[in-house]
Amino acid sequence: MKIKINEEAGITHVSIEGRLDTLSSHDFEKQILPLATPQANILLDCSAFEYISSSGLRQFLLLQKAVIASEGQLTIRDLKPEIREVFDMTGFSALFTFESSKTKPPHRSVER
Amino acid sequence: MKWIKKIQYSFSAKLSFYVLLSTITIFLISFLFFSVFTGRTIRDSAHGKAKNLLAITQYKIENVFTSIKTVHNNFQWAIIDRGIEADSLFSLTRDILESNPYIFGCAVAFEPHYFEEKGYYFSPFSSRQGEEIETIQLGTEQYDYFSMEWYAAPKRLNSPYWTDPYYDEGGGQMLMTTFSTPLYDREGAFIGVLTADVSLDWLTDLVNEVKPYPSSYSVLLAHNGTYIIHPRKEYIMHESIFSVAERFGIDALKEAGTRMTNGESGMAELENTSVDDYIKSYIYYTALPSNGWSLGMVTHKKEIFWELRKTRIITLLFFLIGLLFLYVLCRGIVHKLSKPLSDFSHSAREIARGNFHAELPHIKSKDEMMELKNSFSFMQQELVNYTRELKETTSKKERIESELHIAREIQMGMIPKIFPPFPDRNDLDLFALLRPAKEVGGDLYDFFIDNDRLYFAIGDVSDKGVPASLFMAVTRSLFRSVATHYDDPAQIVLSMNNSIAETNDANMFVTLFIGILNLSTGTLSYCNAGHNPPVLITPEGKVSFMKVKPNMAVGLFDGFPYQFETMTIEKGSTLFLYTDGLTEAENREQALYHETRLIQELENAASQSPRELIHTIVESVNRHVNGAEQSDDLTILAIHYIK
Repeated sequence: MKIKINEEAGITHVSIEGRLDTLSSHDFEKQILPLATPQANILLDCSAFEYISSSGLRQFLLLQKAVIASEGQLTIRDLKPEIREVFDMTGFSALFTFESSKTKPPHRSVER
Repeated sequence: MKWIKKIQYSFSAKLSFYVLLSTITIFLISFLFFSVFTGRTIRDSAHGKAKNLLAITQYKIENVFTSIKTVHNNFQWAIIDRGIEADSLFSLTRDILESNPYIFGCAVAFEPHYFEEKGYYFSPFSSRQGEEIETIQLGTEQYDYFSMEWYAAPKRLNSPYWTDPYYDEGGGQMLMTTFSTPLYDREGAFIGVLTADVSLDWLTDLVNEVKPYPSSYSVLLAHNGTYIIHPRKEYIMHESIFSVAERFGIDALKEAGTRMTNGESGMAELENTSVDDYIKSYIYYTALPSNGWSLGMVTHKKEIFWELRKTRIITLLFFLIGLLFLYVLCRGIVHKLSKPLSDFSHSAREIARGNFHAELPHIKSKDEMMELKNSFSFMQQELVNYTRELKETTSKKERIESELHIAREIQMGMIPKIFPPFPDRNDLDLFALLRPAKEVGGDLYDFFIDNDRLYFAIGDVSDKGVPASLFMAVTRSLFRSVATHYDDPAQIVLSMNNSIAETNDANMFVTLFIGILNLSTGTLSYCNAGHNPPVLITPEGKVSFMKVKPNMAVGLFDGFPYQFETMTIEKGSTLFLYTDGLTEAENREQALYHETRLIQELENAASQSPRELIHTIVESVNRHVNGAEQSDDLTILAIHYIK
């Protein structure tokens, strides 16, 4: 997994490439979780994100909880459908804000 | 070639070799300079010395010749002034010998009948006979001096004359040369000659009195180049410098002869001749102005340079001895200095064999060897520490492994493993499989029958390994304790969720599918908490994923409103439940097994019993994975509702 982080106009752009499984979860935990500083606005670019395991889901959850606790904001952009399916299946979709770079105004996903 | 090997493999030999090589080079260069410089100096000094001695000898001879001339001048006037009394001339010649030791014989010879009373021949003559001086009347019929060179030549030339050397049989009885001065009366008429004999032996002794080197010798040449003095007696008066040069083909000698007979002074160098006497020699020469003879001094180069050669040989000898000494010394010193290296090498081998406390060489000096020793002992210490740590780690790991093994047994003991589990029931066949990716895992399944109802659950804890296994144990226990209190699967999940979420600081979660199948009616009520939707295989063999509400995984949000669903299962249907370890099983290229493949395989095996079905699917997964490491826990539960 490759993680690129870059600050721009008060928004922390994080792009995740490749797979988030048990092994790479540690990298995620070390590099991305600390970004949840007070009022942080984090944009996760998932256009090149290929696979998520249940431990990966947990990392997303931890990040979301940390962001909420620090009164920040977390947006997941361009998540691939097959991964979105995993989010849907576990009921996690309800916890996150998703957006697509094609249909701009971000929307809150509807619980199924 | 043994020594080459030695130089390659022995440090001391190598170093000594290079030291010697440099020493030899430096020495040879110095030796060459020394040789050339010294050679020149020696040659120049030899030239100077020889020329000096030659001048001295020339001076001595000239001195004698001039003295003789003076004597003659004085006595010439004495004879004429006295009015010549014939008999007084005997004592006169005697006087001359007595006062001039270098004159061997002296005669006054007169023209025939100059003194009437004395007859045809009259020539008083004194000569040395040993210590004595003998005086006689020389001229007789047997000794007709008028035709002799010493008489005829000055008379003819009207001037003093030096004869060429000759053997005088009547007079001196020896090899001599004679100086004759013509005598004239008051009217200027020739009346006779006054002579002085000089012995060639005496002249030779004079010439040989001084010589620059023991084997040097002198030669005296007459006007025409004939040898007057030469170490080889047979050459005297018989050979000339030209005849010798001709005979032996020595051009340099011929040229020197020409210069000498021309009255020049100088030096000639004779090289590469086959004649012993002249082998590589210098010939220094000068003229005798009195009579036009030429004096030469021959010195062998060999002798001149012998000292140099001797010095060279001694120097070389000393150098060789020194070199040998240096080599031995070098070897010794380097061997001594590098001895610790081989000791260190020995120690290193000892250490490599596992003897970390191997003794190190004893080093006294505070140089690099000491540094090496310090590094070695540091290494020893570190090795000991490292090994100890490694042992500790290993034993810790072993302990953990054995603990994990026990944990696995405990975990496996928590799930039902006896199949068929309800042998006395003819309406239900059920089979399950749990295969953790590690020793212990986070997957679970469970089932039991209560009141003709089958309670069953399958779950997957986020992550795997020990933390997941603990979470799994908690989940399983909760399910067992909660399930029988409710008829509603959503209530069961709700209750479990609330219990777990209350204390879930780690934010772990478990996806669960919990179902209750009424075996008498075929009514299935179920609650899916974020788990993969199960597959339903109808009696006709139709295979499809069940439509389920996702809800939320268990353990995260206290009070989440879980909802249940119901459906009726036809007899003859099979419920196929699984965890994502199945659909997400990866091969080496990280390609997933995937749901579509699962559906396909199930369609093909739709009529199989739960045991066969699971076996078929696992085989199919194994083929897909093809030996790659199992990436996630794998759990399958198949329930067949028998017709």
